[in-house]
Amino acid sequence: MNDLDSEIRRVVFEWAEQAPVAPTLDHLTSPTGSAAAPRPPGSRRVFVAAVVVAAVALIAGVVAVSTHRQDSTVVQAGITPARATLADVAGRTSGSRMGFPAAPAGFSLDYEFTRDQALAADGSTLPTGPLGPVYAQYLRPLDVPDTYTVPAAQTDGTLPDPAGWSVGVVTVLPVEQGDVVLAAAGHSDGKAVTINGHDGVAVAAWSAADDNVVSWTQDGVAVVVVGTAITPLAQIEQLAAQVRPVDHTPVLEPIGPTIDQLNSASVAGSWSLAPGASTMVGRDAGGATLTGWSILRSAGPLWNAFSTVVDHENGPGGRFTVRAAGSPSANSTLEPMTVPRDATTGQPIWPDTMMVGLAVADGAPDVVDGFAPVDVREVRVVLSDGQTLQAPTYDLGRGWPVLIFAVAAPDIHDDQTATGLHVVRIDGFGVGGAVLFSGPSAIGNAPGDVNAGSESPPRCPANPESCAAAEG
Amino acid sequence: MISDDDGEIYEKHADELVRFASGLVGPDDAGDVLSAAVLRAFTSPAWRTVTNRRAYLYRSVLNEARMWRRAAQRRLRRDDRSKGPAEVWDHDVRPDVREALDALDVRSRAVLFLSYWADLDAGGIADLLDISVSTVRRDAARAHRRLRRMFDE
Repeated sequence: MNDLDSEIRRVVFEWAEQAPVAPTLDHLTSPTGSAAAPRPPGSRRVFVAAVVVAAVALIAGVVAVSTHRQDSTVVQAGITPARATLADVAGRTSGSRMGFPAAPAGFSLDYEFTRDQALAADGSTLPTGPLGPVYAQYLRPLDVPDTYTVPAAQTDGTLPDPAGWSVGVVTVLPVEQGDVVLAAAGHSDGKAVTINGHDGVAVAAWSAADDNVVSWTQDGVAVVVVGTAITPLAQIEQLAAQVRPVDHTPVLEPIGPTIDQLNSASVAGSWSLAPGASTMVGRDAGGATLTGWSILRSAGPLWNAFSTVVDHENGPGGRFTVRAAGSPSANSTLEPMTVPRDATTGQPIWPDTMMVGLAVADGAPDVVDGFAPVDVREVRVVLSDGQTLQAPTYDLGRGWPVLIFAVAAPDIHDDQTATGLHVVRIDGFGVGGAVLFSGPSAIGNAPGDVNAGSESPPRCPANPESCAAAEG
Repeated sequence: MISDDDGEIYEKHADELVRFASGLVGPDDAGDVLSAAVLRAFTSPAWRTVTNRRAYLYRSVLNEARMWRRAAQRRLRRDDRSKGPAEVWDHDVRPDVREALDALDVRSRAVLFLSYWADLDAGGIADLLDISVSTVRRDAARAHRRLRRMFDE
């Protein structure tokens, strides 16, 4: 452990050890219930008001619908594209599913999912990539040292990452094979290989954060086997040789959407990979609560494969790949394709939230984007300096039960520090300017990032007054 | 009204949650943040369908801490004053390191707290907070970079 680690540990332990005694249950439920610790004058009143109003609103299902008109002095900085007519990706079906009917030796089959038609997602991250119908499996190595060597720690100062040495298998349409290989590996130059008599390609990861990839076509579909850069290509080839048709996959009921008036303050949105939601096999305690989407986001190899490579470069510190989620072919990009000034070697940029911009390259706008219910025609975003941005919503045309908005956010920079601008409130306007929802957006999250279906708590009730109170 | 089941869940996890809250907003506000988070979670329509309630409560505390901290920052700016240090400090801790860590955003603090105090790896943190592993790694790396720069000066 180095000196910096020691210092951080000391401070973190200080945080924990100075924690007060948790409020008792009685104290929690009392009308003035809150911790006994002192706080700035006035804050107790705000806190109590917020909690009481929030509780009442949530219990009673109160929905506050205001008819406030929009502010005519807003800054118009929208980059939202016009409602586009998009290629029909819905309804296509893949010829078969390829993968592992049972987990191969040394691995557990952690989860699998099918996506027969339109994408669905939660949050502002949409690793749609170029993909149509998909069947995918995620495997992780068993904790058997002889079978698989797990690195003790990463060398770049980040935390050890169990997902970092996992493997994924993706079945896509042949027309999508090249794009998926590119997305996973960061580039597409590879060597020819033969997998069970089929011509294929093996592509080494462009950077340490990209995937090693083996891919081929078989039985009318393309199979892409991906593993992180530390997973040897030879091992991926060995796994690829074990891939077989998967005749049956358990298909669960779709989860959500859960948009309703009660949750419209933050657009509760956890949509599984419809219509076949995920199923998980052998996931241990804790993981059982996750939806397939949530795991997909966490599982490195599939995450890469589902993205779109924007650029890969030799930067000052080495190679790095810039990815984006969204589909350029659909005239939509739901992630800012920008390069942080502080991009580090081998660290692809995965901005998973838009409400607070990352540090972006000079001249590159940041983007605030997110979801809105279908009845919302326009979204107003209020920044911490009082500036407002306004953008129309639009339909991606993929059958999603939500609309999308995106707006350039000038001068949103850095992260969630006190000095950086951030979004403090989002208002959604319906026909005639009626406010359909109004509430604070948790820093770093889009209004659609409530993830109710994946069990994230609501950030603000529907009542805008209580939101305002909570905001202080 | 909190049900017996919810009360049992709260009492089971209250200690770890208040420590987590202290890591996010400091000891002075930890109790309040925990109270608000728990009440908000218990009264959420989604609460009854939650299967991993511990993780849900962790995320609820994180969300509440974000709102709480933003409000506190606005109060501080409005009042043009700085937050004073707590009364009890570990004098072995470098003040500049403490200040730098205090200045981190809430999510980064959560990542560091769960890493150093709870000994969770990136996957465990991602699962608990329902964020991607890459986000955990990015937050951790960014925090380390900032601190490293400061530490090397």
